[in-house]
Amino acid sequence: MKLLQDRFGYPVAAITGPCTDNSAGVDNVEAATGCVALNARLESEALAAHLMKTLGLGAGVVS
Amino acid sequence: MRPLHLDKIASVTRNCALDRDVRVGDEYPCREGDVIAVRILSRKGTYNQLELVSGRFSNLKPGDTVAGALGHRRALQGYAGHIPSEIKTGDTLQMLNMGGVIGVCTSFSPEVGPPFECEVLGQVLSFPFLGQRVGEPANIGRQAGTLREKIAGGIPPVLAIVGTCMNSGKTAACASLIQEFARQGLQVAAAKVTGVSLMRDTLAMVDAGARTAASFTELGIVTTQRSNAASITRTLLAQLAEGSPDLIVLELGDGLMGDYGVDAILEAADIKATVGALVLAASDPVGRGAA
Repeated sequence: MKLLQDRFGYPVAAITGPCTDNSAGVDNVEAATGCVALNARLESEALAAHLMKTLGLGAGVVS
Repeated sequence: MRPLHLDKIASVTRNCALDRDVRVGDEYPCREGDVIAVRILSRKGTYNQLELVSGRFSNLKPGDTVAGALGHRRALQGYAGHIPSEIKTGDTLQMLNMGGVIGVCTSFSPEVGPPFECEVLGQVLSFPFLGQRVGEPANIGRQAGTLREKIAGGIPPVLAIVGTCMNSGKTAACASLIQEFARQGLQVAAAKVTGVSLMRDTLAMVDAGARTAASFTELGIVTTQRSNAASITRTLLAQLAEGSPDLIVLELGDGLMGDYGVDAILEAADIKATVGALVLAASDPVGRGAA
């Protein structure tokens, strides 16, 4: 997160990957970063909903 | 020029639409993307498959004749290697990835073991013009257009997924999210914009529900690097936007500190202006913090 934010100026919308594989990882990540940590395989609905909100895409939008 | 029958045609050559029966020559320009024919010399117990143009994987065995393409690779959990400056028929090169990228291996991870040794059989020739009797060296970039240096207008919201390293969960996250977005009724387009040629990830995106998925290989690039990664991204964004998707999901292959140009993409202000959200895929807590 430090590299992404300090060097590239990107806010991180969410953290996923093996570091979020269980509650030990999720708790650690969220406590250390304050960033949303969701596992893409186990919590895909919640992660997608969070990102749709961040992107300004309403749930259920059909083009 | 002589005929050669290919047992297997690697996915990296897919732009060339090769037939199993090709003609080969002995002059090698040694450019990225040049399609060469090789014979597999060694046997491997792990990391021993080749991705075919169909996207299916096939085990490689000694004696297999294979068409692949010259390219370089800098993979921490795979091989490091480069394109040779000269090649002669009969030389030995190495298979650098499962997509059929061929070059000189200079280093390998113990996880994947030494690469397949390959005897060079010839430079595959193409005959792009009707009635042409003298072939020209086949190259995967022959019909590729020019890369864009400026971002196009009309880009829909972009979700970028970056990782701390290869195998940090980026593709799994992309596929899982694409599936959820599609279930919400969104039309999703997706692309893998950095890395080394392999169809597997973009096929996974389509299988998850993306209306379309593209990669740098379709632009004639075997391996992305800092010098072309941002232009590749601009070009793929423009191509995907033509289909008017609701959302574009970009996977930035490899890690933030790799050699495939992820940093160049993140530094590009015009690309950054299109990215509505960025997700970090991290293998471990320390990697997550440092990234």
